[in-house]
Amino acid sequence: VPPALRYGLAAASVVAAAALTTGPLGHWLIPEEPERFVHGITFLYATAVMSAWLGGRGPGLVAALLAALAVDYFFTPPVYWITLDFDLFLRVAVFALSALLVGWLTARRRGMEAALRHSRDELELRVQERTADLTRSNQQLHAEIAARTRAEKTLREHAQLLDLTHDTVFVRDMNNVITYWNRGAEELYGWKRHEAVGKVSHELLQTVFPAPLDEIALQLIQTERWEGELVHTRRDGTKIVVASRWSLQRDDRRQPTATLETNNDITERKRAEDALVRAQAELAHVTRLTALGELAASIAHEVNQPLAAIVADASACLHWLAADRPPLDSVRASLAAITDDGRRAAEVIARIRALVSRSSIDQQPCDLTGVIWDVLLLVRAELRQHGLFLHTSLATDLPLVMGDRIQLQQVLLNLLLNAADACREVPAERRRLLVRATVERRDDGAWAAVAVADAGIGLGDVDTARLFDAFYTTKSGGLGMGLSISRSIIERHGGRLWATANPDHGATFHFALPALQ
Amino acid sequence: MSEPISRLISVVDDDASLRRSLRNLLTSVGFRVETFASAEEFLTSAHRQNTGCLVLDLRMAGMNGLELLRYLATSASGTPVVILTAHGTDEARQQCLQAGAVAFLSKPFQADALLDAISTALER
Repeated sequence: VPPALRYGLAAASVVAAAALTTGPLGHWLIPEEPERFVHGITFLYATAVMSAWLGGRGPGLVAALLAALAVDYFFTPPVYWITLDFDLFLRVAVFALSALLVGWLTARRRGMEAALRHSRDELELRVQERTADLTRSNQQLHAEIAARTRAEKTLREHAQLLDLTHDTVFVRDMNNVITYWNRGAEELYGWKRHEAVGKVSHELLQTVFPAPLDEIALQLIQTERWEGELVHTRRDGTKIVVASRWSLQRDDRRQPTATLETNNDITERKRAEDALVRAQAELAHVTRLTALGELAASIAHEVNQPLAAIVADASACLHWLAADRPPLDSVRASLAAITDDGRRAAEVIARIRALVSRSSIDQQPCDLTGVIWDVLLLVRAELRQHGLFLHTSLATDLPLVMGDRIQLQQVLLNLLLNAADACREVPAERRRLLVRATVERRDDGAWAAVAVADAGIGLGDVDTARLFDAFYTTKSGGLGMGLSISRSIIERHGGRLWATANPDHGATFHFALPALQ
Repeated sequence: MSEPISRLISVVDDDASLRRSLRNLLTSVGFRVETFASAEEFLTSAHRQNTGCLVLDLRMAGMNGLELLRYLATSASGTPVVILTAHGTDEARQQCLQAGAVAFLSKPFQADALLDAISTALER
């Protein structure tokens, strides 16, 4: 309320009270004069106090002054006159003090009320804020619960899906303790979920690893994946080979928490593969024997040559020793030559024996230069028979390869005999072969490459895509197994075998093998 | 065994070891010996004309033994030829004898058989 109004109302209320008590209404209500005066004084006093109560200290003081004057004017003899005496001063003081006291009480009350209101408002604000916080938290909680419910539902669905797969899936923690075991795992291994969960997987399955477990674990931590073949033991004691894939799971802080292991039973496939390898080795052996059969005459020549030399030298020695003064130097030289020729014949026999004796595969670090010379020793007579000139260009830094020496000899033997065949009908000047060995540096490391180049009839219309197929042959008496077996041998060694047409005449057959790391 | 006589024996064989050992054997019984690594080398040699007997291998690069034998027969050189081969097949034997070889010996051979064959050839 504006101050002017408050002061106005205070003054007006005193005037109204004076008018009421001194006017006709006052005379009618209280006809007797002393009582009307007493009530009039009380009424005016009350008006001053009310003004202080309602309007505050200022308006209260104004009302008190006016009320004291009104009392003096209307009710204190001489009436209708203001006497400036001690009574008036005392009355003004009492009225003013009362008004001040009431005003102070009023102000204090209002101050307290305001403080109370302020506190209430503040409290309400805090309550509202807190309520809003709680509402938000509640909403978040609801969202989290909903998300968790969804996640649990998804997890249940995934777990159900994992049960549907034929693959074996299980989860193990970082101590290899199984925490999940799907139906596929139950079927493959024979242990129920409740039996497997809580067990250490490698102990339960008696896992045989292809590498030290520390190395595998390191790779898993570094790349979050690992793949390899494992041997597991089922509940009934039978051993199985599985193709195993591991995936590492991490938490929000990137800490590894679990490993998901998916296994496929490849026991039958491995068995079939092993049988295939054995069958191929047998076939390669038979093919090798066939090739050696074709070479029999040439090989006989290779053995008979040194034997003939031995016979001649030995006879010469006998003749010399029968003389009166034997030429001992000549005898000694001949005996040394006999030793050399004997060794030469023995080497040929040893190489033949190696080629015919074994059908199993024996992978070892292998020197391709040695392989090439072993084969050239056996075929040089055959090549000479066909009037073929053989050239060699062998790198001195050819790296070792991992392989079966006999099978690699067979490949080279096959390529050389094919090359000799291709040169059978061509003019003498084109009857030449080149065996070349080089080192190839590739992104994945060094490779040893061997090429057999001829200037023969070439590939012509031969279907190069089918060249290495089994039973595909361009020779009248050929079986069509040589190149097929050669390619399977080279591929089994992790290498490649291929053919290219030469720019002028003939063809070149190449094979390349990864160098031994 | 034949008596040693000083006639020139030429040996054509592409195997160095055999050329050396045949030289030893033939010189040990008194022959003069010249050796050649190929038919072409023999044909271009000055010793071709005074060769009393030619000991010839069959399987060689370039001109082979049978081709040289036939060439000598057509050129009427009159040099007797003893074939000494590691490929002693019946077919080869027949071909060589038909082409005029005086003897056909398979490697490995008996030394006496070779010396006898050479002696016989020289006597012709």
